[in-house]
Amino acid sequence: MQTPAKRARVEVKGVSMWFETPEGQVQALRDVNLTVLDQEFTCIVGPSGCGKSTLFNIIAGLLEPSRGQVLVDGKPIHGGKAGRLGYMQQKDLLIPWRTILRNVTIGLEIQGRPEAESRETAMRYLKLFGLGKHADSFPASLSGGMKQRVALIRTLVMGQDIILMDEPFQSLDYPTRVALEAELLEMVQELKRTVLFVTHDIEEAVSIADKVYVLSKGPGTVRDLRTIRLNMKRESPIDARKSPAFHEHYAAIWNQLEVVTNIRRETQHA
Amino acid sequence: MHEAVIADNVLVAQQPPASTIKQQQRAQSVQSFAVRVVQVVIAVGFFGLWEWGARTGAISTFLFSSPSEVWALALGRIKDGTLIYGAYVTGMETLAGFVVGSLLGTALGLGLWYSRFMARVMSVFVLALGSIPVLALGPLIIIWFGTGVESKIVLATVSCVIVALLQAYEGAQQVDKDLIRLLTSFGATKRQIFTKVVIPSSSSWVIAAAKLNVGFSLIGAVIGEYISSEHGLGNLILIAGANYNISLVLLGVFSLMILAFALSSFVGIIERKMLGWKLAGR
Repeated sequence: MQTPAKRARVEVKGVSMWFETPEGQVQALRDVNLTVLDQEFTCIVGPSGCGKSTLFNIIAGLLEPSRGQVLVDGKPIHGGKAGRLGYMQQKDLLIPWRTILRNVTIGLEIQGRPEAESRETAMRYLKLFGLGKHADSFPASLSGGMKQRVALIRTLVMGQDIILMDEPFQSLDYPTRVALEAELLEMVQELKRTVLFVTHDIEEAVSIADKVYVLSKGPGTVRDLRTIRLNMKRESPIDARKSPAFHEHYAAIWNQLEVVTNIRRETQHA
Repeated sequence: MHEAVIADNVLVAQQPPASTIKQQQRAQSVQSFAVRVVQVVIAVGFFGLWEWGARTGAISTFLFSSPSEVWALALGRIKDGTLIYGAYVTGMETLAGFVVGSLLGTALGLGLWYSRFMARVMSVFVLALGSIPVLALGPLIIIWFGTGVESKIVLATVSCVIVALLQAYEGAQQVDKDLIRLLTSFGATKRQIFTKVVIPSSSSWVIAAAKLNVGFSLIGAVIGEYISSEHGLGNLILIAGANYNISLVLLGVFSLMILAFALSSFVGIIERKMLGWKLAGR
């Protein structure tokens, strides 16, 4: 049975990036091409220093690439108006003097949406994530996992159907992270959102993504595109981790990242 | 959403048992009680020794007076109203200068957030103005604003405006750049960022400045009264000193101490009101 081809939502075309440093020009990205299809969960994995965050900022429209362009629904992101993509980072960036509810509604408030309506939307999402009773608490009284969930809700209520995430769960402990991955997957599917998720954690990428772009280091460039689809049925990331295909993908990506530990290098010299 | 529920059980911060909390609270209250006791002992010891020295002649009452003399004088001066009036005049000068200086300094400091260029231009002038001792400006300000309360209010204002400015500017600079980016990604204008994030997030800096500044303002007001005045605690001390009335000088000093304490408690109450969110996690 053939499903109709999905349309491309985000297209990165021939993006290269150079930075000026005191030591001269440094190339962070070389000719990066990637495509995110509608309602697809796409991951970008790469070792630290491969320009993931640079790429993220370029796609988010926060940074202009030296060469190439980023199209969102066929229109260039740079020079367009802000707010076409939702985005979420490793830091929760909750505002400490605002209650959880008012943290969630800040984006809607900025866009001048009616207050009552915003509150209602926010409450609906908070309840969905089991945070309804914390609506009037301040961020300081929440655990790290809860705060990151609030940050996710703050992104989701904005209603953009494309969401960029830059290592959003990185600062959380393992069980919390897996729990949040599961919630994210379920939510994204339910709300039919398209996600581009940047991480250096191969396990995380393989267990949640439909598609993984492997970025290699110095300068960052796409080394491989793996279609994972462990989660075609959108099982929980925990179940995905149990499947045999998981280990296959994991090993394949691991090999591509060319992770060489210093210890091995030293023994080779010896 | 069963995941969320499961996750919640995993994630909710573990509460220690109630008995442990009670024990900790008890230990804490025992310690704060001990602190109070030691404080009282030190104060009583100090005044007791002083009084004892004055009565036995070990301490010259001409130079150092004695607690009982100061106390008797205080009662008299409270009864005839002159002490209260003096404290009232100095207190009002201080408060007026403090409020004007803090508002002005905060407004200027936050305003500089708007323009990095202006901030860089102004920085040298701010430092130059900040380095002038208020005492040096006294004569000029008395000449310009007269010998009444106005000149004291101006001196109190000048005493705290620079610190308020620097603190507000620093607070505005401390706002997380990523947070500003996030708001920008929501389409926030510079003004929205200013009102929703910059002003409130610098409030803790501004209030920290206020605690210092109420003291600086008091110094400014008293300096003004020293230079030329007809009322106020500074005036009282100045005249008493000129007459070698040590009891009255000391009464003035103690009154200033109490006034300073009252003013900073007042700022403390405002702080607790404004920064309730900071205490939420404790």
